[in-house]
Amino acid sequence: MNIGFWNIDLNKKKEKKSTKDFSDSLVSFAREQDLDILCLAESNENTQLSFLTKINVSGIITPYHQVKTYKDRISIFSRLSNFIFDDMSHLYNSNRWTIVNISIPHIFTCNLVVVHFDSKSDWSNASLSLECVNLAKDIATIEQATKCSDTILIGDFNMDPFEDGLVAANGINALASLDHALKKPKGREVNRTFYPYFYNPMWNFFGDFSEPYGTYYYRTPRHISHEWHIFDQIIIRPSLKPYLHKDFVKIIHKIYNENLTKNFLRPDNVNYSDHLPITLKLKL
Amino acid sequence: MNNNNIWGNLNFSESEEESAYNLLLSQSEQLIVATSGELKMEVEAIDSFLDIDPPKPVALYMLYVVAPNLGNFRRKILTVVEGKEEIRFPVDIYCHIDDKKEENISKEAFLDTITRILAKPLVKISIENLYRQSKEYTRSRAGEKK
Repeated sequence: MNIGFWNIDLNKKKEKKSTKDFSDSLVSFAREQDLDILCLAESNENTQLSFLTKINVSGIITPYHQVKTYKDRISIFSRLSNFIFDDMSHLYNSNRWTIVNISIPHIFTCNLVVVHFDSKSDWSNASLSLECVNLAKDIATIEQATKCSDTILIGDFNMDPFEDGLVAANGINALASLDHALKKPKGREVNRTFYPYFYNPMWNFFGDFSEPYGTYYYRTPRHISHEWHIFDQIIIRPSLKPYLHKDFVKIIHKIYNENLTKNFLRPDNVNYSDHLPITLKLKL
Repeated sequence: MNNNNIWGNLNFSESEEESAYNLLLSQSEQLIVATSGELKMEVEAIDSFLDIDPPKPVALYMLYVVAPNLGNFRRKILTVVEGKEEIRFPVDIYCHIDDKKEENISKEAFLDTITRILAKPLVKISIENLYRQSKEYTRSRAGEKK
């Protein structure tokens, strides 16, 4: 099963965008990456409708549809039937994440948490980290309600994998090592409380051993600036290890030989988005 | 009048060389019949590029087995790679279940090769299990309704 996420940056700065129809890029993204589930942040209704119209033009292939959820900040599309998705919106308040339980009978069950945290320009690092504590509480509630702890987080966290909210035990508690997380199934103990681990594979994308160097780029006129960021992340419970392919997580910077980046492999925010898309491939 | 025909060497007949895509599609009915509709076959065609220097344009035909009763869950079985700049055959066939590739398959050997791939133990089990899972789920739902 293939899941993709893309913050397509259509909510703002519309006037700066090129005349390119973004739905074409979404169709190409979904088809090339063979996506069963496509999650979008910062999309608009026109683009969503246009995407569905174009991708469903061939009558031979199972059509995509929009997954029904009460939270509208994130849009989810899938070619898996609606009946396998169970919207968990009634169990939490935030509109910054959408949680659905996915249950393919006799094959696979998981909780899919699609997030889009507030921008760093509006929220301080401390506030974003504290919001992770709320997300962690909601995940615990959902895992208890669904009796399923195979949880997948995907989305734009507006935080790098090393930031406090993502590594704190009472936050997302996401480690860079899958094997280490598996060795301690109860998680990290802090003051006699155990916090179960997540595994964050996005740590592997730091540095220049592979391209691109992140999913988002910004440079601040200050002494400290990382310039490249991995705000768009896939974080999973270690128990999902049996479903992982060799290259199960990817940052996509080319679709059908068309570059989503400009100079120095920075995201091309004029023709596409200021974020690069990411994909998760599970072997089912 | 001059009897020379400058168009004589061109072939304007409508018969098209059968593509791997058409050959695959011709098999779709049979899976539905064999499984009483528990499984169906889908072939998705996309244009792509082989990641070589310079990139080579190709057509990819991906064969999936879909279980409509399991929420349209689909398993990718194989991909046929057809060069776009040359004649349609030979093609390469990549099996996603065991990650093995069959190269230079002629039109005559095409369906036999697919049959052989589908008969590989891993591929066979994978499709048969999907059928059983779908059947079991259909039966359990029918039981719930009663």
